[in-house]
Amino acid sequence: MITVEDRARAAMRAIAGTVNDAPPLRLVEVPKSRRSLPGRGLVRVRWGGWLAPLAAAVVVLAVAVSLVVIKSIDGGGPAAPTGLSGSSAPVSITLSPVAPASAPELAAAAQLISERVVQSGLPGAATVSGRNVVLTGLAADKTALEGLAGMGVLRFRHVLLEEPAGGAASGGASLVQPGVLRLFRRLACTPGESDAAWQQEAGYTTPADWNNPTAQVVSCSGGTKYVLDAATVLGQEVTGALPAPSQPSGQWAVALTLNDAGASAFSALTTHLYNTYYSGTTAGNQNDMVLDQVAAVLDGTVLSAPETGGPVTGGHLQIAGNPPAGLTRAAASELAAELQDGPLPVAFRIAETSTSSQPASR
Amino acid sequence: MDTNAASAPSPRGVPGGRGTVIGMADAAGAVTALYQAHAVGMIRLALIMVGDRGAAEDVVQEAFFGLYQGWGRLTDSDRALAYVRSSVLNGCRNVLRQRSRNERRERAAVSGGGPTGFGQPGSAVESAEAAALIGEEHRQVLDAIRALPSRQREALVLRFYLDMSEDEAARALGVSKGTVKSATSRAVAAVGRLLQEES
Repeated sequence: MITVEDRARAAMRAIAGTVNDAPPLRLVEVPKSRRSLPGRGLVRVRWGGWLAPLAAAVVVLAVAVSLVVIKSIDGGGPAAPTGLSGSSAPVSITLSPVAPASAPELAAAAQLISERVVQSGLPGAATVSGRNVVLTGLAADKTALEGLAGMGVLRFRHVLLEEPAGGAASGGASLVQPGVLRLFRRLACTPGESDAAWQQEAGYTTPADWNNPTAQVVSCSGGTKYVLDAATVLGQEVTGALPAPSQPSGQWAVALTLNDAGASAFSALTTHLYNTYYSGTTAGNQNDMVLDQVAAVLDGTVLSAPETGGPVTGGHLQIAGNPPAGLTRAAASELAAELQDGPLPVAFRIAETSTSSQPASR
Repeated sequence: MDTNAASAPSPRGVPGGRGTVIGMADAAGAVTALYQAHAVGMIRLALIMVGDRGAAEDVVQEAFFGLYQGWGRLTDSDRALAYVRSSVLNGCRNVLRQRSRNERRERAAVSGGGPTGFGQPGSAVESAEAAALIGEEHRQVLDAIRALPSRQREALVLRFYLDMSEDEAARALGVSKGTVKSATSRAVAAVGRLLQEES
């Protein structure tokens, strides 16, 4: 007589025997481009595509790599290296506050920038010098160091209007406040222009303007013009930001974790967008395609605006680079470092960048 | 200007326990290696629990991703596999719980409530392919196993599928050896009863 135990063992072995292989491990999903619009620098990806059946979807935001490197800091013209440009030459970047800042604010900002530098694995440090903060490091890391001095305010906002360079605006003008709509129509976005240029044109003078969480804002990114709704998720709701290698491509990304408030707000928004606009998106409706998007906005610049292919309830998001280049490990580390400890209390402009004529210690 | 910038920066203000760039790279390599070695085994374990290949793969994927994210908090990398296994068990429990909640809701909608019978497992969810491959008799047994309370089901699977000793199963489940013993024997009795009802 066959016992229950024997039958259980046989049944478990039988079903186990149907598995002989495993799918590749996805520590970060490789972004899948669904389609790209002409004149558009950003890749569209579906939110929560691959884990759609699971609640804890990990989401990939594709980032135009150049946007990560070129941060919203006004360079004040290119810095002319005065001496050695080799990797061992030191660089000194003078950061001056956009608006008057108190001594404790400057000290806190310098401390935070130093932490970011350490976290991104670069040699260097920031110190207060008079009314400025001076960031020193290696000339070879100049671009990375300048990026780390960005304020680092992250917002997630619903995209209301989008106009690619040379294209027509799509979205939902009726959702936009009249004043913001007028500003959007007046604003011209030029591919390659600095953030300071469009911000000035839009009449945005301080970070409080382009970061305002409760207001609709305009933005230019890679020549594409946007109206973005009031923020759904604020940067302070990001509880973790870590550089993460992507499998199997070997490219890098930044893994973000939202706290409960952020996760539930993001879940509510993506559920609403999916239910309202996704079917129109798949039918090719241009307005729905725009309105189905959530933008990740860093210091007023749209990093990426993927469309919502399903509710995203898990609070795990990832920022990956555009294929095929993707993010380098350094770029992912920098972006993560900038987001890890929250924004700087002060926004800076780069007043001066100088490289010494003396080689560094050897 | 001062030329000491190239020397090691002071690690001030960096709280401990956070993954560094180097640490995360190590984590990815280590987690990937563990996955390559153990993914099939973990998917098999999850498939026994939930009966659905896709759900099993997702549970295992989530467990390894969780290991990767928590790598900095893992003090002993030898514990990694135990951590993954308990994540997999946990994930399977959630899948089954969600499934039974959905079924209860559907039944309530159809019949206007009524007792939710023990032994009405979610066999409908199991893929037709798996059912065909393993045969009706095995399917009935697995349905019965999935209908057990979590602790009984897990004790039975760890003891009779993974061939763990009572001690090992007790450690894996975080319960006493006596609990494993009684849960296993109750599980066997319940499966026997369910199979008899079915035939």
